[in-house]
Formats: sequence, structure tokens, C-alpha cells
Amino acid sequence: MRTARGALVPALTWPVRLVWFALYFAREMITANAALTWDILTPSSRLAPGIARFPLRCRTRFEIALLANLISLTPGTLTLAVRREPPTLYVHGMYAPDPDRFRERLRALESRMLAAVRFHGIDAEAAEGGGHERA
Amino acid sequence: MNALEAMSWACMGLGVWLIAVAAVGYVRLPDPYSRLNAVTKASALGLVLVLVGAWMAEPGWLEAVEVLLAIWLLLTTAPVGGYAIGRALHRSGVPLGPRAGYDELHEDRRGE
Repeated sequence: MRTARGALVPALTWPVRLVWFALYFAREMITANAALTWDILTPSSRLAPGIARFPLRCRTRFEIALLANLISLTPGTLTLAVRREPPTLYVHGMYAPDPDRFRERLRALESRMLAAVRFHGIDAEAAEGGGHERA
Repeated sequence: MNALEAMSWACMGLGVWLIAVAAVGYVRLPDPYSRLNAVTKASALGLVLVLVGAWMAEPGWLEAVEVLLAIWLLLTTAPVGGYAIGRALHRSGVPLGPRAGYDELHEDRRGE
């Protein structure tokens, strides 16, 4: 699958993918911030907090640290604990009434991040897998 | 007043407004985790906007490097600080507050 020619394509798309992800994340941050601002300033509150276990597909220390920081930077979600073996984050969500739907949201961010950060991107198999098996 | 100046004021105004909202959130939100959330994020984004606004008031290459360095430091340190405080909160047993649904970190800690 990865031939000599196969290294050229990722080398060309990598910078584009990184910039595209940065823009995507900036947009996410702004929309989440607007939602949080609205909730703070209006009398009614949609607040439904919870702490979810989030098994990662990130493998290197860099990927885990970056994802933990990105989650903490997004308004409404906060990384509370990191586990290395197996790679797991525990994430506090302010608007997360259902843990599985919350995990799906986090997984979407993780997929986009890995596709941008990894030189070869992520293949379909890795993208669909549900992280590691719980020990 | 030219366009850049107007944008500078808009950025700084929006940034200050966000920090003010974070302060209101700190008072209004019911539990420590949500308060921490409001303060670390809204104020980080607010400060970034203030920095960008300040750069637009005095644009230049050297200033751009300075502002980018400041933004980079802010965006890498703010979440780490939030993480450290949040972790300390959970470790000292602070409850999640009203309407909390689940705490899987607590479940996993108990099993150890």
C-alpha cells in the first residue's frame, strides 16, 4: 500500500492537513465558546455534567498530550485524568447527558486530529475501530 | 480611523467581553468543574483576542513574532493548568454538582 511514490502524496498534503485542522479547531472553539457564553448569560441552563471514560487510538506521548490539551481548550470539556496503559482519557463534559454520545463527539475530534497530525493520515480500519479493548 | 484600527478595537472589545463573561460564569455556574471550565477557556480565548487586537494597533514583523509566541505559550499552558486543578478537585472528592449523570473516573478508581 505504501510504495515509494506513496510517500510523496502525504508529504504534499501534510502541511495542508495541519492548517485545515487548525482552522477546524478554531471554528469549534468559537462555536463552543458561544454556546457556553449563552448558557452563562441566560437564566435557564442546559447544564448536564458527567465524567466519561474515553479509550484512545492515540499511541505516542505527543498524540495523547495534544489531544488532552485540545479537549481542555474546547469550552465545555475538560480532561481530568490521563492513563497510559491502555491509553485512556477521563473527560468532564458540561453538556453531556449521555456518555456514549459524548464519547462519539470526542472520537470525531480525535479522528480529525490523527488524520492531520500523522504523516500518513489514518486508514479506514483505524478510523472505524473503537479504540483499544477494555482490559 | 482606518479599517485595521477598527478591527483592533473590535478584537480587544470582544476579548474583554469574553473575560467578563467568564467572570460572570465563575459566579453563576453551580459546581467547581464547570466554573473551572468557564474561567480557563473563555479567558484564554479572550486573552488571545486582546493580543491580536493589540498587534493590529501596532502591526509589524517583530510584533507578530512576539504576539504569536505569547499566544502559543497561552494555548499550551492554560489547558495544563486547568487539567492540574481539575485533577486535584476530583482527587479531593469534590462532587460533580446538581444534575450530574455519571462519573466513570470514580467507578474506575474504586476498582483499584
